[in-house]
Amino acid sequence: MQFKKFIICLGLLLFFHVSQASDVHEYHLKNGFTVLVKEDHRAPVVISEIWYKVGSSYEPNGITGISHALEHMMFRGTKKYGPNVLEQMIAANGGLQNAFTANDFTAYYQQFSFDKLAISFELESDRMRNLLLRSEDFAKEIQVVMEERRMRVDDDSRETLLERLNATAFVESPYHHPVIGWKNDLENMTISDLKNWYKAWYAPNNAILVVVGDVEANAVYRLAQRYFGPIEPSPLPVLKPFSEIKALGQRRLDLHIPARLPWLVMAYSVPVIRSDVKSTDPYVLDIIATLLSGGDSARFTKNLVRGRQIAADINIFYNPFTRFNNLFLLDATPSPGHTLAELETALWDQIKRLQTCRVDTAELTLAKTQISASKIYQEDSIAKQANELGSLAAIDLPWTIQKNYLTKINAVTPRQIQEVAQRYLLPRYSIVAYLHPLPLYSFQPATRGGWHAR
Amino acid sequence: MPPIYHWLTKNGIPVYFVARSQIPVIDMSIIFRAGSAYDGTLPGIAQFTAQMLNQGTRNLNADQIANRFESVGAHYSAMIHQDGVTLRLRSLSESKFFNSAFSMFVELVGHANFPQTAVNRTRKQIEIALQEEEQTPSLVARNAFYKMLYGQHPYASPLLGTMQSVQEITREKLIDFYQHYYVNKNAVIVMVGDMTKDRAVALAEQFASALTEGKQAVLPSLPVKQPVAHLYKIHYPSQQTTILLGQIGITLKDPDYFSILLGNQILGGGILTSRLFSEIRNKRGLCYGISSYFDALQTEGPFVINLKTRADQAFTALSLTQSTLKNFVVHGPTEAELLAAKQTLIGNFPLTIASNASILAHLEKIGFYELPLTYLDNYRANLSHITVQQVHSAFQKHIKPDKLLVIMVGKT
Repeated sequence: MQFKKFIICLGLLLFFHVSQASDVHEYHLKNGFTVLVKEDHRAPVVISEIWYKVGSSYEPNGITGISHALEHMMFRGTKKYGPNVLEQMIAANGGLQNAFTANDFTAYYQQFSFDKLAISFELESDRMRNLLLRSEDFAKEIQVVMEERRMRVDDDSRETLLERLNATAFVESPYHHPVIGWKNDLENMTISDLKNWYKAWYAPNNAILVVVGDVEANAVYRLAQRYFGPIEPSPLPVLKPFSEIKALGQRRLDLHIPARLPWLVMAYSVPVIRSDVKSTDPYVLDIIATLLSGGDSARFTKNLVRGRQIAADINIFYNPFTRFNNLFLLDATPSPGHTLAELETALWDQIKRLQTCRVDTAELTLAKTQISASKIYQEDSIAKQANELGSLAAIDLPWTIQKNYLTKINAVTPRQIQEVAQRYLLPRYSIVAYLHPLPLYSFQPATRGGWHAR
Repeated sequence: MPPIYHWLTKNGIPVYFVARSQIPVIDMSIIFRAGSAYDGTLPGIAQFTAQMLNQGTRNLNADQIANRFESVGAHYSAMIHQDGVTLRLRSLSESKFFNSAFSMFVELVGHANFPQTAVNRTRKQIEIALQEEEQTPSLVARNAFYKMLYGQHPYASPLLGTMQSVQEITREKLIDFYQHYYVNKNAVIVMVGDMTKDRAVALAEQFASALTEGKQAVLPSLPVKQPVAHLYKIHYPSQQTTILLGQIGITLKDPDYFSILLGNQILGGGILTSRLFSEIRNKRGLCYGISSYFDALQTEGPFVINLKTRADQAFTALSLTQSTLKNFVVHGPTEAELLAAKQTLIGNFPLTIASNASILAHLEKIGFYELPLTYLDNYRANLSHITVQQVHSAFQKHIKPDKLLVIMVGKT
């Protein structure tokens, strides 16, 4: 009883501060452009982000990776601001900038001193429509993208495994293919593919502007209207629907990759908030992830890393903010002397315990406290605040979901945890992957004899 | 920038504090001169010690420690680098959360007791971490680079140690290291966040009284050595070849520090705008990332350029990188480049002090390396005075482009 009181109290405290920090101001221009502004006056700085509702999950086979390749080309100049001008202008104004592409969105950002916001709007409104897309630049940039793929995936045993796991887990869902694209598609991509993709998706009615920092919301709105208001909207492509087919049983992967350590991944197909905004299941899954692997006190570390010492480390990834159903993913490295099969059994035992025994109140309260505190810590970073707003808007979810997130988390009961574990964390919905290391041949790091001087 | 308060505890530990009350959060660090440079004959003992602090104290075991932090939503972490170990706590500021987290933090800093079972378990985890390094080409390259660059100097010591050395690290040796280096004379305390200065003073005293007096650790200076050109190849079954090239660089207190900072911004520090980025990536598509940096440490840290490229074009990329560097050292930057670099570094300074976390990082650096309290106030002025001539001569003095250490990891 005492614990319950404690968490309710904490919930109120969090809300007080989060809402006092600032509310979000939402504006819609006539051309369909959305503007979200959150004032944060702690420091004289601002972050400005443009989110386009396009990413790898919009891509058909044959041109996988095109959203990400286009993101690279967005740094190759427009008619008005030629190659390198944008980078130099932002740097000369003390700005930091970059971009990122994911399954469901492509986003560009600049961070500046607060008085430089108009520079961001000038450059972003220009490259929304007027990109050069020269074939000579593309010839170089696609090489850069292929180097990026080698670095991120091909030379990383674990990323290689995850790529294959996604391709197995998602049969019909576009999460089947990697954000960076299949190598073959990158090799065959053309500048005209990119021009079509750019023309189709880069429009004000497919974009969201997020601004967080030392600004006044209405002034940002007026500035946005000036720069983005005149851009004509355009009809967006209509994607064919798909329905993920049901799994017919557990899927297992045994992958042999050059590596030093074996590795285990167990993933389950689970819903996300957008699958059904009324469902509480995604919130319960977030709690389960925290209970099992949210820190040093969580069950996995306590029981399997310190207690039985069967694993060196265990993590869980679950992102409830995606367009389509996603994975609840466990990964683990066995301790010396333990096999992948032993580790798999130990993880299943932990899942079964969730399904058979109710979590006690103290343990549940601890998980909720961790999630609540993290939410407050996030207020220290304007980039994290902006990313939270953008990642919701990019998948057509209202920003109020984040505002109400802790209320939903705090309402989760031990019974719900048991039921959700029973509903989704089942062998028949799972994909289990083993990474069996192939030798890193002739690898002799410590002795000079293995090195060839030239 | 809010004012920095600085004082000594009664027994002499320097304290740095910035009050920031907009969010209900307190960040604090205690830093000891106990990084890998003090490993001595046992590479990895600094890391091993740091990793053991939350594995048991005189009163509590690892489960209880984790519970004490996490039941109030606090985050504890321990990080080491060459010069120091940084122990950090982030907590909600309200007393009912903070007090529990803080007393736990003080307890493990002052009264860790290194249970034998936890030592054995941690050793296995470090072994796994060492194997993880072996399957990460950039870390294979990094370890080789430091080893060859620093030779007998302690900066050569790999942070995690070696498979052999971690076997030799016993409970007794860990306790010796802990008792020798985790002491008042070797500590700096840094705090940022939602509390008054009076409260900060009281907290610092609590910290100070948990530690023994001890004495200040002394880092061996670097023997003066002429750089020599060397290329080492490590065979590795990756599609890309990882290339590291560089030399011994400068200390944080080098009079050329700001010239070097600006010059490096032009050469390879500026994301998307540097000469290296333009030549190797933009014009030729040879790599995804390329950058250069000076790791300015207590004694001369390294100057490093790093990139990865497809194995068959590694030598092309390497020679272009070398000629870009040489061209920069020989001719220096242009006026326009220096102006742009100043605009960037001066202009983005507000971003580097915007969050509590970033202010904490600045204070850690100021406190640990005994930089003047006016360091942040004067930072922009120090940059704005630098001339093209100063950048040019600083690079000529410190970088010998024909005498680089090169490490290549891959099939090249």
